[in-house]
Amino acid sequence: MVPDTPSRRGYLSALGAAGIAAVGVRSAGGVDDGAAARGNSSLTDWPMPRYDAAGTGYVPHARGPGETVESVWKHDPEDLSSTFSPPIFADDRLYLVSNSVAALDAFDGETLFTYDGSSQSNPAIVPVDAYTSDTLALAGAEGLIGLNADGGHSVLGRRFGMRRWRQNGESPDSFILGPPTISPPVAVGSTLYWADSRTDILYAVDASSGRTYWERELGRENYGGEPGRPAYLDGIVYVSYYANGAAAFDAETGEMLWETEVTDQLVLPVTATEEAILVPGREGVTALDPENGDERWRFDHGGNQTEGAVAVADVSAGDDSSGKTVYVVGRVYDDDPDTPNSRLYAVDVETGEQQWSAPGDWREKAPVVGDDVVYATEFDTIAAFDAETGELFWRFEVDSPLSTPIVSGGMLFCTSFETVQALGPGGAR
Amino acid sequence: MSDRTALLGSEFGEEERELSVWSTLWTAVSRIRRDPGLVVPFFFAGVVVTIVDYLRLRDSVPVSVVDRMGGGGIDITYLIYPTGSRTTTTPFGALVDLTVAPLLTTVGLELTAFLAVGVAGWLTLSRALGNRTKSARLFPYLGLLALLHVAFRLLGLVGTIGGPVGLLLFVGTLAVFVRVFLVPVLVVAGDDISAAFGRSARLTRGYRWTVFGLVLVVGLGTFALGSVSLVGPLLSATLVAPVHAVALVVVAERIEKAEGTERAERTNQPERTDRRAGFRSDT
Repeated sequence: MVPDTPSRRGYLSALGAAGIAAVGVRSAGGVDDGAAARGNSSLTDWPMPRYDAAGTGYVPHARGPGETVESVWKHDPEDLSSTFSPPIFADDRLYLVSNSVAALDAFDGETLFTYDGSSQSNPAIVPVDAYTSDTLALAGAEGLIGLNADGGHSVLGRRFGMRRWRQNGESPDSFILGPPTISPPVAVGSTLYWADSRTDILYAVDASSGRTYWERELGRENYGGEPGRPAYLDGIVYVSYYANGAAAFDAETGEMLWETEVTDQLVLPVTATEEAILVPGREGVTALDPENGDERWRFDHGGNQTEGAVAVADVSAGDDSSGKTVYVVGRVYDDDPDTPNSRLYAVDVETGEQQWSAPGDWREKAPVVGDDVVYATEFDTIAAFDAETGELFWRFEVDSPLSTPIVSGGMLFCTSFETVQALGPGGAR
Repeated sequence: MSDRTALLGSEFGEEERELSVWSTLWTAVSRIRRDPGLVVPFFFAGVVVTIVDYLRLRDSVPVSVVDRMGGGGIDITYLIYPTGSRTTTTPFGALVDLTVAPLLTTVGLELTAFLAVGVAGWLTLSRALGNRTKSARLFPYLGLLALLHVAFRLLGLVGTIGGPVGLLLFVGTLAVFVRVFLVPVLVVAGDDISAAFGRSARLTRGYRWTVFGLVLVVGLGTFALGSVSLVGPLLSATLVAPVHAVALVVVAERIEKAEGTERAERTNQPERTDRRAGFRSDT
């Protein structure tokens, strides 16, 4: 624990100052920054991996540290084993998964409660009408489970009422080398969509009761499906699966609307936009027509990506285009050890044309965008770029490998091995 | 005809048999065939429980679905008191932070199922005991069921324990089941709940293998019928619970008779009445 952890009041005061200063140089201050400036704690939630159900990794009205940065706090929660999974943020709490689940006070990093279990996916926060507290849904060896997001109640030092339900789905097959990493659920209203990467089944689940609304098997005969995180947009659930499949399902009924194969060796989790369904793969990104799955364009970076996702942000400057840009990392093969081995690309979502690129050793291949700044993580360094021009604002190095960050309230939160880091605007404290 | 002969079954034309699993079950089934009304309370309890399970599977509060066949193993579904199976249980964590309407709905449904099974057990045991039960024994019987319900829920909080410790716990639990086998019928017959536990342990001494066999038959029967899709709770409540209830009466009668005979032989005196339980008549 860093000894100079700021108080909640001091932290909010600092955020307020940063927010007010930022409003002066940007065209529009968002809800998030306004809340911080007023000194209340209604910061923008980051309720699930990749921020929203579409998987954009883009939070329009929440600002990160902006053009300067420094560490606000870092914390080593008890029972947190090694993890590079990004946290999620809701109701002023950070939720982390590293086998066990930990909830931390976002203002000082103190552990609020933990849940011991065999959890392997990132969680999602879901409001449910039947309860006064949200449901924290995540997947693990037990399948999909729903926890009390407030942690239940503590009696004589022991927590009760922490777990609400376990989805009554198919029991997962055992795996001799331990369970593989499991895709996280996404939340839409009080419904969860979850693709079980062990059983190749896509589920729609009631987040209140854990009841399965519908389930559909993914993949083709004699192929493992290994589906990734699904994406939801306008009543349709999109999912990609091994080796190069992608499909769309009616979110209400589970009816398959279309299924296709993309031109790539291996597909990664999809991102849904109104313009295109973006399917990143080992060698590039394929944009599919949301209506029928036809290919609209393809961007080849020629790299060898085996993990990650794309971010999609609206950085329009008032021109005729949609202004949406796809941010994707591609690896570059080069024998020169001094040459960065990957690039961050910005690509027009309508045409697939490259707008800019930036070299770096991007370890985590899933950039995120807060307001107009793109954040990408190298091995132990996080970097911020102007989302429109690709101008580098800063690089910030820590002492261990970093996860993809999340953005809220002028802050970046990320995990780093057994540590949680909060980065804020430079000179804020 | 004395009450004693009625208790031993001669009133029903039954041949007296020594206490064994099959003779007990045969006698219980024979009594039910002669008096089908013994099945009626648990049939209606099964209907109520099936409706409650149906509603609980569709509301917004989580349930644990009891998958009896999914695990590929077998289970001994035995809860000491006569009852059918349930398809759903409510995890403790599902009740924490519930808003008022779902909480009242859930508690109301669970209470309805509890009362249906409790009243059915009381009616069946009372009818099987004939005039040997006292009035107003419903509430002590419901109190016993509530106590057992809480005890099983607390045991459930411990979770599943495997390995040698789990095996020891399993054997220990079965031993407890054998000792408390007669508690439900003793409570309906007039014993206090606390006294019934001690008396059941004393009465079953010397008959524990037979009682153990009955526990297995009832537990496996409830498991097997309860595993039938959709109608499992109704089948197990209608076909197993009444047999369990009447078997409790049969076992209590025969043990009391055997003990009375032994006492009479030792003292060469006519056996005396145990008015508390009402299993013996005045001579």
